[in-house]
Amino acid sequence: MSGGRARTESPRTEPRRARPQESGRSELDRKFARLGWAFTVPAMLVVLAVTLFPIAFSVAMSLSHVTVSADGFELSGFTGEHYKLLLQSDRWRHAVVFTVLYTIGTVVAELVLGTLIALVLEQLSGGRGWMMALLLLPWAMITVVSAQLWAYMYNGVYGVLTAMTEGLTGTPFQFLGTPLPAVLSMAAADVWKTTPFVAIIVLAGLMMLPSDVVEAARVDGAGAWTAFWKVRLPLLRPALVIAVLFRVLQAFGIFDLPFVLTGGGPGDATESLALLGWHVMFTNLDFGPGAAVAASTAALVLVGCLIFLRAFKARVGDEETQ
Amino acid sequence: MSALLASAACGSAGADAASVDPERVGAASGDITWYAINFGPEGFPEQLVAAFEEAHPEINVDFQPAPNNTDTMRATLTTEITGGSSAVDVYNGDLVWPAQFGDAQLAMPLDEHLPDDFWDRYPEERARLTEYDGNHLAAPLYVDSGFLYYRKDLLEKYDLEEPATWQELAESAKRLQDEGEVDFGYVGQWANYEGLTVNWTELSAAAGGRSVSEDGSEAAIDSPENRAVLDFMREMLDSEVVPSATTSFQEQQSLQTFVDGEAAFHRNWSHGWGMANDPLASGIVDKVGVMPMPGFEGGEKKGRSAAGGWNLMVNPHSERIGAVLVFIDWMTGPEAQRLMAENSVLPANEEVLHDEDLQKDNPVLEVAADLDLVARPAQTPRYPQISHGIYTNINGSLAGSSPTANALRAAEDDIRRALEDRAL
Repeated sequence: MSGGRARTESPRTEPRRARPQESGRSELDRKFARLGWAFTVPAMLVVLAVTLFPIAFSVAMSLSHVTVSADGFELSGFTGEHYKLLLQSDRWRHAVVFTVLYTIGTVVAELVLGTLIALVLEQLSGGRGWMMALLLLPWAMITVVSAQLWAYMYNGVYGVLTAMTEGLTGTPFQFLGTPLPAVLSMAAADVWKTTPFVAIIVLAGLMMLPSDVVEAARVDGAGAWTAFWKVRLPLLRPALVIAVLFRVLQAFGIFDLPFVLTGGGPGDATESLALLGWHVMFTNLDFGPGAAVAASTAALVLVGCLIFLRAFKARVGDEETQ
Repeated sequence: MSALLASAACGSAGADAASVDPERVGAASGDITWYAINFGPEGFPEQLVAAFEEAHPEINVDFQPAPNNTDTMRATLTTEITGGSSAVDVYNGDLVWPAQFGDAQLAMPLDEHLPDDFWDRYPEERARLTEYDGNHLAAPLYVDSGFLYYRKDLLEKYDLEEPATWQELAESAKRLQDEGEVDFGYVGQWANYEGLTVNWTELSAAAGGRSVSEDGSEAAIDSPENRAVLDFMREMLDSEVVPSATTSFQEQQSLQTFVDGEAAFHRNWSHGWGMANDPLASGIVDKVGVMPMPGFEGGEKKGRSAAGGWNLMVNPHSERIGAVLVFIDWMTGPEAQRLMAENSVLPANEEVLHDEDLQKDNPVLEVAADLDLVARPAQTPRYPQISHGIYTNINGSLAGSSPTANALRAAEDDIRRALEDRAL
């Protein structure tokens, strides 16, 4: 029992031991620090160039008159016009509603299923490694590829799932042909792919739980359910928060599944914000409004995540650095 | 059609050489890169390149296959060309690209570099579809159009005629379904994508409707003719002549259904013929007939086939324009175009298209030479947005989310916004 506890503590103590030494800085330390900076600056410049610059450029683009020509993009003068267009657009509003509901729906489903799977995995003594490797297969597969597999299974005439529903009910069920089934079918493909990711994060959280607390609860007369619901789940919160954050960030930017499975259809039933942004930018070549769609997506997900973090008052940063 | 034909006679000047200083276009030799989605039989673009290099040993062509998706290819080209890259010299561009690419300067205007009589090698209306703002932005490489494929064996067995109208088609299809010969009557491309705009344009034209006014300035999709068409399409779904899965079908899925012997009628491009008669891929070899698209009761007597196909376009950053022009001239000339016709790729060159010897070997070519074509409203740079307004609303209505009148009103609004130059 105490062995598990020692495992979780040892990484905590090491950096703390290191810190006091840093405060009394020698010439050598400073030299090393400078050397460290010298080594990291090029990498940081690359990060600046490939992430911060494009983000800043997109935001600038979304606020400018943009002309596209053979010589590239020309940004001339500030305008709020693109955002005004967005707010007046039914298509954008529809994409926002779809993306938000889709994100909430899939993340909740993944969280519940992932936690259940993690609880089962925790109980396994042998073969857990193999099970995890198997579980990770869908997660490791490129989404475009797995989306093609799903498209094949969902196909209205020769899809295997369609054939199965025909065998069961007598009429083939159209997974992608009508709006609500299309949304649910897409969500199912998403849940299939990303639940293992949630399961593994939750499993890691479960392994880190101090088992003496659970034992104490048992001694105090808590049943398995109460021990899970009142003791283990609250302690799991940091792991769950991380899983939710990762999943929300990804689900909110969903592009590849609708791109391959439905093209945003039927009608506009599965048009996500990312797909809309891509259409406006790279099909219609409207770079200003397209950038505004992208920036609005980022802003919405940022606000959503901040509200979520605040609501759960999780000190994710603390847990991360321990 | 008359509007297309009226725009003629630009080739009358008849200059026989390009009026451009050779120094400005570079030497007519060296290495060039041709970027295109694979077309024709396996390895066909490479075969064309080999034949070209034999005729012009001073030029080397590097064929680079593009991703097999028009929108992805457009995104790639936009990124490359606006970024100033000259990695690609010449590329295949979709029939509906010239206005958009001309507007965004993604393709080089060709008139300055090609003699006026260059365009005489094409049917007039086909050459006109490459124009934007008074300039040719592209040289037609090959054409395509919509064909109606049908089960010749079944029509003969039940003594049914080739359908003259869509209504007759639905009737014959229902009969063959009732007889238990096929599961489905008709399959086309009714998914939420550009292909539905193509299918819609054909049906609408047959009924005498259009989506954008003839001069390209106003939305015209919310009309009695189009309401009749959309009602008819929905009725085909309701009566199960068309399987409900069709609202998620693109070319590949619908063709697969047809060659599996599950459908009586099928609309597709010219490659449908080859696949339907390929013993490795098809269960209906030699049981297939091909004809022009049917008319629409109460509308036009004769059906209309949507124009499709691909053009050659030039990267404005290319440093080998001299060599590219030689390549374009050869690829659109008789030798290459014959090679295409012999490989089931429909030639854009008028002389080859009408060659009777070639038609004998290829019934699709024979039908193609004498089709009434209808163009999608791609004369504006905002065509992709207009097309989206068409296919999303039609697809939504076919999938049951909105009734005919609402769908066409929404499409009318979307098209109007595009024509008012509003991005969303």
